[in-house]
Formats: sequence, C-alpha cells, structure tokens
Amino acid sequence: MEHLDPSLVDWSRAQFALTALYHWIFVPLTLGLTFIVAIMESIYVKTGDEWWKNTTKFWMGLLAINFAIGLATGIIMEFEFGTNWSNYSWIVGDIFGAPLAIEGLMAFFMESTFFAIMFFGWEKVSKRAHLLSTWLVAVGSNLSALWILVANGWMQHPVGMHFNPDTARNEMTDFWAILFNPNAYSKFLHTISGGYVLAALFVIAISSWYLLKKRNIQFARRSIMVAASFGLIVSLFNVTTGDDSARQVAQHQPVKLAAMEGLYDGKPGAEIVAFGILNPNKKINDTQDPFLFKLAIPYGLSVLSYHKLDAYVPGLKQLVYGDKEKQIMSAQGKMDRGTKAVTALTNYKKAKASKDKLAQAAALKAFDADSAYLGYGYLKAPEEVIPPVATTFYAFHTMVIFGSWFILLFMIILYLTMTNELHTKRWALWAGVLSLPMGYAAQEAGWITAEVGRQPWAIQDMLPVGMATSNISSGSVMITFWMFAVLFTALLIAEVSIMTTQIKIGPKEAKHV
Amino acid sequence: MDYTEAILWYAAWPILIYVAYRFVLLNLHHHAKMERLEMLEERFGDQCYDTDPLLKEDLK
Repeated sequence: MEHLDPSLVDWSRAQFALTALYHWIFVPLTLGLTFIVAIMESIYVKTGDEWWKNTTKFWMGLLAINFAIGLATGIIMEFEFGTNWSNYSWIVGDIFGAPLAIEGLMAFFMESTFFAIMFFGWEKVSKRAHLLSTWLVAVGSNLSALWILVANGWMQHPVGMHFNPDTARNEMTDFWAILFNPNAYSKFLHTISGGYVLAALFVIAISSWYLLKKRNIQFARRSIMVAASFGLIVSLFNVTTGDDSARQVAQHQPVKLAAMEGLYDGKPGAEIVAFGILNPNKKINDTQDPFLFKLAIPYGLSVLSYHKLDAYVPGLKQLVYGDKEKQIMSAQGKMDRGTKAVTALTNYKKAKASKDKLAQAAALKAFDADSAYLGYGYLKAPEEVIPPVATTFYAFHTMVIFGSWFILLFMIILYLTMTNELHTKRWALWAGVLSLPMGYAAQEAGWITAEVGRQPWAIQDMLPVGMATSNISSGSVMITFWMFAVLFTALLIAEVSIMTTQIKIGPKEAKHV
Repeated sequence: MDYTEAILWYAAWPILIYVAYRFVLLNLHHHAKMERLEMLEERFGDQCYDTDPLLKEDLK
C-alpha cells in the first residue's frame, strides 16, 4: 500500500461527499413519509372513509417523486465504491460487501416490488392487500437503511473481522458482531428517527402553506394532526438515540467527540457547549481560549458521554499528545506501533516469498503485537488524527439546536391543532413552513458530523482516507465530479418543480362516508 | 458475546412505530370531536350543546 496523489484523494472525497449529501436530501423523507402514508392508509381501512384514501394518495404521490430521484443518487454512490474507492473495496470488501448485498437482495427488492403495488394497485388488489403493501414498502425502505447503516457503523467501529496478512484484506469472522455492533444500532435508530422527523416537518410545512392560503382546510388540519402527533413521538425517541450515539462516539471515537464539542483540554465534569462561536485562530498547542463566545451547561458533556457527573472527558491535546496519568497513548506512540506493524507485514511478505518459515512466524508475531495500530503507520504527523474541528463543531450544534426546536414546534403545533386554533395563528403556520429547510439542514448536518468528524479515517484507526482511493487520474475524478454536480442539481430542480406543481394542484378531497 | 442491549434497541423500532400510530389515533379521535363540535356550532350556534350534550361532556 502506498500514499496516493493528494489531489486525487481530495477530488474522490469531494465526489463522494457531493453524492452522499445529494442522496441524503431524498432518503430521509422516503424513510419517514412511507410510515406517515401507511398510518393514513390504516385510518382509511379502519374507518372506510374515502376522504382518508384521497389524503393518502396525495402524500403517496409526493413520496413517489421523492423515491424515484433518491434511487438515482443511491445507485451512483454504490458504484463509486468500485470506481473511486477500489483500495477500500479491496481491503474491506469482504465485510462491507455483505450488508450492501443483503440491502440490495432483500430490502431493496422488497421495497421496489411492493412500491409498484402501493402506487398502481389501488383498484387491482383488495384494501387489506394494498395496506399490507404500503406497510411493506415502509418496512423495506427502512430495512434498506438498516444494512447501509450497519456497514457505516462498522466503518466507525470495526468489529467481527480479522486481518489476513496473506491477502492484506480484512475478512469477516462474526456476522452477528457486525449486525449487533453498538455503533450500527445507534446509528440506524438515530438516522431513521431523524428521517421520520423530517417527514413530519414536510407534511406540516405543506399543510401549513395550504392553511396560510386558506385552501384545502380540512385536509391540511388533519394532515397536520397526523404529522405533529407522529413527529412528537419520533422526535423524543430521536433524543434518546442521539444520547446513545454520543455514548458510542465517546467510547470508540473520542477524537470526534472532542471535535464536536471544541474540547481541547480534557477534564472531569466537562461542560457541554449549548451554543458557541469558535476562535478561528486557535491551535492545538497554544493557550488561546478555543471560544470567542459560548453558552455552556456544566457537567453536560460528562453526563452525555458517560452518564456520570464527574466523568473525565479527554480533549484533543490529551488524545494527540497523550496523558500518562490518564493512560491515554499519544498519536505518535500509536504511529510508532503502526509503523512496526507495517514493517512486520512487509517482512512477512518477503519471508513468504523466500519460503523462510522461521522468519515468516517471527514477522507474523511482530505484526500481531501491533496490528491494532496498523492504520496509524500510514499517517505522517500526530496532528493528522484531528478532524476539521470547526466543521464538525458547527455541524453537530446545528443538528442539536434544530432538533431541539423541532420538538418544541411539534408540541406547539399539536396543541394548537387540538385546541382548534392553528388556522388563526399565522406565526405558527409560518414556523411550520420555515422549519422544513431547517429539517433538511439538520439532516445534512448530522451526516457532516458523522463523516467529517471521523477524518482522517475511512475505517476508524485502520484505514486512512488517503489509502482508500482508486489509483486513477485526479482529472477523471474531477471531470465526473462536475458532471455529477450538474446532474444532481438538475435532479433536485426536477424534484422541486414536480413537487411544487403537485402541491399547487393540491389533493382531491372526497366527501366523508 | 452478549447482544441483549443491541436486540432491545432494535426491538424499539417497531414499538416506536406502534406507539406513534396509537398516538395519532388517540389525537385523531379528539380531533374528530372538535370537527363535529365546529360543524354543530356553525349549524346551531350555542344551542349545539343541547343538540349533542354528550359532545359537551366529552370536551370537558
């Protein structure tokens, strides 16, 4: 393995980030809207009221537009593993490929098959068969997300595998350890519940717009009632999964946690920054205050990370330069051991080529002693382990602040709906409309926190991003980057314009039975 | 390996959906009463409570 052209790494990274960010505009809405639609259709089947059938059909139409365009970006992203990240695919394909294959074979086919019945089968199958299809689409789309997030969770905390020095590949040894990886379930539940929150905001925003325009009043009020009820429950659940995610990050990715909080100096009883402005001139080894301004909650970070008031939370300084008292190994120490592992691996290959069994065994023993730090052997400086602090910090805080606002919004909207005052409170309706872009921003911010925060690693502590790309020309990646940028933007414009047209046409309202 | 915590967390997913569904139904029930009251008020004004005393009782 050798270091690749930095501009190739940057363009490959930019292309994947672009694809993922665009893909993530469409996916969370599908994850949540499928369940909202399934709930509405269940009400239709339960009550027999045709009004609910038409309401379900309207939201299903918007779901179909979103689903189709989300699919296109998702497929491109999977191809990029092969085209732009072939070293990554070579080194961990045996593990990463399995969840992706299950996703394609089981969840995706299930979702797509029943989607056709759901969308085109209203008059062709019985009410109950149609309802079952709708629920299976919802479950299938979320199971798709499960397998992708199992794969992603594994990248954040690799388990259930061993490194094969003969092939220089990681091989799966325990499928269940990968499926039940704490990072996998916390990431899955936090991500899908975030998608549910976005879908609830989507329904509220469009319905609020109808109320502001004084049209489709009953449709809007009932849709808001369903969405706000659903949104309140899932947003509270989202908080609990967020808490679990933070605990996983503290245990397995402490550098990411320190970057998320702008924590340079570790301490027991660490505070959590509720809102802050970072000092842009702060360097890891100077004495400047990391913040120009901050509002902090005492002990918050210790409680969030370890559920203890006085728990010690290491800062970037301790994690990079080490702390003997707290038994934290420095990044340089890990790099030294990583270099030993790389050397031992090279010696093993040489001994194998020369068929020297004794040297082979000695090299393998030396490799096993330091293999946990193999990835560090490819870093050039200890400071490389620090992710971009400002991006991670602001993304994390955007997600948390907006997420907290959404809970309050759902409470307000639900209360006003239940007291029959919502349509008279224009400020609340405007809040409903304007919260939709905030929902999308929170979604993207969540992914930026997760992915930028784990830099420089493609796989935590094992494979730096600089080692993961394909050995191709940076020019070709640059050209395809711009092609995809134009294509995705066109798709986004298409989605927004088709949806806007459908929303302006509005639902076909039926009389109650 | 003990996967109990993971299994419990995964099991929370269908429970979440079920709880959300029941919460929607609960609120929908209340909302339907509100709509009915609104309709009666439009038709009969304050006398609507005499028309449908059970409704007034429900709304307390």
